[in-house]
Amino acid sequence: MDKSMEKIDSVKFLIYLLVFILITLFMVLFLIVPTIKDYRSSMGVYKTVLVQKLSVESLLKEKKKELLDLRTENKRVIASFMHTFTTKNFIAYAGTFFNAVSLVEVEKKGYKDEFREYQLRVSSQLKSPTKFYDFLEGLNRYENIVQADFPIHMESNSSIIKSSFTIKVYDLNATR
Amino acid sequence: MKRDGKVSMRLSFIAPRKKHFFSMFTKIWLIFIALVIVLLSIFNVFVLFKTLEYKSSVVNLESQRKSLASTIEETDKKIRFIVRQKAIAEEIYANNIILKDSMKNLFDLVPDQITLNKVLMKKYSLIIYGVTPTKDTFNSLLAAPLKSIFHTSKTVFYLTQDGWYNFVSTNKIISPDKLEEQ
Amino acid sequence: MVFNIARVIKKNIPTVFIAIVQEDDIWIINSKVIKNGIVKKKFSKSFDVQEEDALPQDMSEYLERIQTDYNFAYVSLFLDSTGQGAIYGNTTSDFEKNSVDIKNVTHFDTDAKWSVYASFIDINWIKKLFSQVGIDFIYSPFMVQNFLLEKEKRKKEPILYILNHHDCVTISIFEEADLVFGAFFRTKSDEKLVNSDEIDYWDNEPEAQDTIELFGRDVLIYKYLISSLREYYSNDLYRSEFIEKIVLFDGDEVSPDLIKMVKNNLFMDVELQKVNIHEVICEMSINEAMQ
Repeated sequence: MDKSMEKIDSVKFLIYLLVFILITLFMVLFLIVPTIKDYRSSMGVYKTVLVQKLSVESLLKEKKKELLDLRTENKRVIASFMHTFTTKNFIAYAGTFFNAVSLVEVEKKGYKDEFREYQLRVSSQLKSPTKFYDFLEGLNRYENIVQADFPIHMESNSSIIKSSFTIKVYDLNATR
Repeated sequence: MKRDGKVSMRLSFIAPRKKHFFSMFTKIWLIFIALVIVLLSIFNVFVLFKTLEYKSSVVNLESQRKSLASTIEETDKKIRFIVRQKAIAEEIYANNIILKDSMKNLFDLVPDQITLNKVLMKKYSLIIYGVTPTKDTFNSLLAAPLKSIFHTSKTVFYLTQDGWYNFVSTNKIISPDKLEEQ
Repeated sequence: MVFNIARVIKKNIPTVFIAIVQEDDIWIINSKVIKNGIVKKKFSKSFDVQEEDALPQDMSEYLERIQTDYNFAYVSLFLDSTGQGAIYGNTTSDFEKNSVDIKNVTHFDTDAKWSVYASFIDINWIKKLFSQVGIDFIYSPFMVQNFLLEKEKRKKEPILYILNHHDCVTISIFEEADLVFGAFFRTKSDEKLVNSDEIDYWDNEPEAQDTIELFGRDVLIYKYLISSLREYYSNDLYRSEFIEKIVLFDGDEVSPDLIKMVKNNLFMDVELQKVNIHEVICEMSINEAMQ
C-alpha cells in the first residue's frame, strides 16, 4: 500500500519542495543564464555586422550606379579610347578634307605621355583654310582620341596649300 | 519454485506486496525534477542553436562585407579610370578647338591685301612668310594685332621686283616656364 | 543480473519485518528492523481486539506509521483460523481422500510431497481485514512447525510434532522429510472443546495408572493428541508405523505433568523445546522476503 500521497508530512513536503526549487534555480543560474547572455551578445554582434554589411551593400549599389551612369554618359569617349588606331582609317578621314594625305609615325619627343605621335602631311586645293577648321573640329568626333599639335607648317604653292602638323594619338599601351 | 538455479521457498499462503524503492510521492517529485531538467535542457539547446546560427551568420556577413568592400574598391578604380579618361579627352578636345580657334583668329587677322605663303606655328612662336603691297599695310593691319597677341614681334621686309614686299614676321610668346624663372 | 543488483540494494536498505500473532483477544505485534542482515531495532506493541470485522483503529494507525517510516516493510500474520490443515499429497484426489474440498481451500505444496491448506473464505477475510494496512505473508501453523523441525535431524522412524500456541494446537506426523498426517485444533474458550462422540470413546480407555491430574489447556492438548493418534493408527489412509517420539514446540506453557502423562500412558518419548512463535514468524518472513 503506497500511502505516500494521502498523508504528506509537511516537513518532508517542504524539504522536497526546497530541493526541487534549488535544482531549478541551479539549472537556471548556471545553464540558462549564461546561455542567454551568450545569445544576447551574439545577437547584438549580428545586428551590428548586419547593419555594416547593408550599408556597404548600399554603398556598392550607389557606386555601381555611378559607374553605369559614367559608362553610358561617356560611351563614345570610352569607345574612342578602346578603338585601335589604324593609319589607314585616319588617312581616309583626313582624305575627306584634304588631298594627298600621308601619315608617318614619329618618335616620341622626350616627355612622357601616353601618346603615339604621327606626322601628318596634307595638301589642300582650296585657298581658304576652312577645311582645316573642319578637320580640327572633326577630330573631336573621330573614332580615336586624337590631338592635333604644334608644330604646324603651312605652305602655299600656286593653288595648293601644303601643310603638316603633328597628330598625337592617345594609346593606352604607350607608356609601357 | 526455482529461479536462477536456486530453490526459492514458499512459506506463506499469499504472495507479498510489491515493494518500491521510491514512494509514489518521491516518484512524482522525481518526475517533476526530471521534467524541469528536460524542459530547461531543451530550451537551452534551442537557445544555443539560435546562438550558433547568429555566430555563423556573423561569419558569413563579415566575409560578404569584405568581398563587397573589395568590389567597391574595384568599382572605384574603374570610376576613377573613366573620370580620368573623360578629363583627358576633354582636354584634348579643348586643345583641338583652341588650336582651331588660334588658326582661325590668325587667318581672320590677315586682310585681303596680304597673302601668306608659309606659316610655321609652334607652341610658343609663329613665323609667317607672306607678301604685302606696302609696309604700312602690314604694319597697320597685321602688325598691331600680332603685337597685341604676342610678346615679341619682329618683321623683316624684302622688296620684290613687283614693288611689293615679302615679309617674315617672327612672333614669340614667352613660355610660362620662362615666366616663372623671371 | 538485474535481480542480483536489486537484491543487493534491498539488503542494504533498512527493512522492517512485522509479525502479528493473536492471543486471546489481543493482537500482539513484534517488529524487527534489519539492515545488511543485522538487527538494528526491535519494538513491540499490543492492541485489544475490538471488532470482529475490523482491526482496532489505533492498531491500523500504528502499522501505517511504521510503514511510512520504513520504505520496505513486510507484514506477516500467524493464521489460527479453523478449517486449515496439512495432508500428504498434492492432487485433487489426495484432497478428496482426506475429505477436503479442494475448491474451498487455498493450498500449496511445499516443494515436497505434502500440502498445506486453509479455508479460502478465511484467507480472503484476512486480506479484507488488512486491506487498508496491507499484508505480505500469511503463515500456516504447519509451515511454522515445518520451519522449526527443519533444524532437527531426520530419522527414518516417524516423529510426531506438536506446536503449542496460546489459542491452538497443531499436530503433524512426519516420516523423514514428509508430512503424512496433520491436524489442527483451536483451544479458545468460546469454542467447542471436543466432539461429544469422542468423549464417550475415551471413557473406555483403561484407567491411568498414575494419579496425575491435568488442568486447563493441558487437558485439551492431551485429548487432541490422543484423538490424532487414534485417527492415525485406525485410518487406512496412513501407514501407521508405531510412533515413539514426540517433539513439542511449546509457544505457551505446558506443565511437566502433561509430559509425564504422555510418557507414562502413551509410552512415547517427549522432547520439549521452548519456542517464541513471534520470533519464528519474524524469522520466516525474513527468510521468505530476502530470497
